[in-house]
Parts: sequence; structure tokens; C-alpha cells
Amino acid sequence: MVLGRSAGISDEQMAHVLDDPLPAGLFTPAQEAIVVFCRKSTLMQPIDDATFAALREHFDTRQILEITFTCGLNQMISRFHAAVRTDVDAETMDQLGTSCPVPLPPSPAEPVPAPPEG
Amino acid sequence: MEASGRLVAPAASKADVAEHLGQAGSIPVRLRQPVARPGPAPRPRRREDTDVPQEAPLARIPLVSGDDPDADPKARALLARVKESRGREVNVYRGIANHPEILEAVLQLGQVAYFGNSLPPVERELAYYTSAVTNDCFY
Repeated sequence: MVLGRSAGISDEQMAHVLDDPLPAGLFTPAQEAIVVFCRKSTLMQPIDDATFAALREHFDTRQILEITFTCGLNQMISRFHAAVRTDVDAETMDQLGTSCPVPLPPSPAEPVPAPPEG
Repeated sequence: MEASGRLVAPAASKADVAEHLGQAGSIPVRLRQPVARPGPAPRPRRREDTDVPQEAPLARIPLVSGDDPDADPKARALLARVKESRGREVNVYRGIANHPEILEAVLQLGQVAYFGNSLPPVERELAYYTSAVTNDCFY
């Protein structure tokens, strides 16, 4: 998130990347293609022709590989965290300050809220 | 969410954001606290989230320090590179440093696929960030 801000992603964009559909006009068409693809890839959903065609419309083959492996790099790191439960750096939390674009999940060391009854 | 209903990752939904955005453009939340969500039942949590013991340690493996003279020399050298480029060793790399060869490969992949790619910074980071949020993983 800190890296996202420093790269220039706005807090509003950060807060909406999981909206489906994405809010009109918040992302460029090229950015939308990345977000939709990476969301589906991370959730291991099928990458349908329309999703790939949207990438193809804005990026060449080399760039599509860069997007694919950047997304995959995070997936690998996230699975590592899920396995060993490293905590987020104190420095990262400090830099986020008292507000954050998206609700953070519980710390691995904190109990997870019980699911609702029924 | 998609019509198929399979997109189950958390979302700062439009309603959430509209409720919280206000003028500041960011959503105030208490860091690392569960957020109460009105409306339908919360998304199902993944298995690795639900089996967290009540008194889980912060990490299941030690975090290697580049300052530790007893640490593997290769791990120390790689962490020094991380510190030079990122300003600190970063916990994730300290964890991976338990296997220096894997850390070396991960850093190399990151250098080529992320830092060395040809995309504008926002687009490059959107690929990484979207996956991180989808995964509930905020590094």
C-alpha cells in the first residue's frame, strides 16, 4: 500500500480495485484491463478471451508477461505469508498512518472474528 | 461482484467508500482491526485465515537479520542489498532469507518482472497491488 501510494495510485483507486464493475472513469482503460486480469488471476478464475483481449488492446506481448509475472510475484509472496505468517513491518504500518484506503485484515497474531450464525 | 458470484474477495464497496470517504479522500479505519460490515454476510474467509490459533506467534519461522554475525553469509549479503534498495531489510525478505538461494531467486524475479518492467509506475504497481488486496495481504 505504501508502495502503491508512492507509485502514484490514488487512495480512491486503491479503495475500489475490488469493485465489480469498476467505477466508471476512475481508472484508465489500460489500468482497468490490468485490475480485472490480476483480480481473476489471483482468484484463480478462468482468464476468458475478453479479459485477455482487453490486455492485448493496451499492451504488447512482453508487457503482458510483465503484468502476469508481477501479479504472480505477489501471489507467491502472499502464499508465503499465509504459510509462515510473517507480520507486516512496523515501518510499513507507521507509514500508513491512522487512515488507510482499504480495511486491513486482522493480523496473523490476532484472532479471526467468528463467522455469523446461520 | 460478478454475476457468477465467484468474486468473493473483500471489497471496499461503493457503499462503504461513499459512507466513509468524506472530504479527505481516504477511509479512516483503525489499523489491523476487523471492520464491521453492514448488509449481507461477510465474505467467507480462506482456510488459512480461519485456522489461526488464538495465541499464534507473529511468525512461524525466524526472521533472519543481516546484522547477525551468525547468519548465513549469503543471506546477510542479500539482505544488505535489500536494505540498500528499500531502506530496510523488510520482513518478507528476512523470512525468505532462511533459504538464501530462494531469496536470491525471488529478488532476481522481482528485479526483472517488477522493477525492470516497461510499464508506467502506476500500471506496474496496480498489477501487484490488486493481487495483494485480493489476497488480503498488504505488503
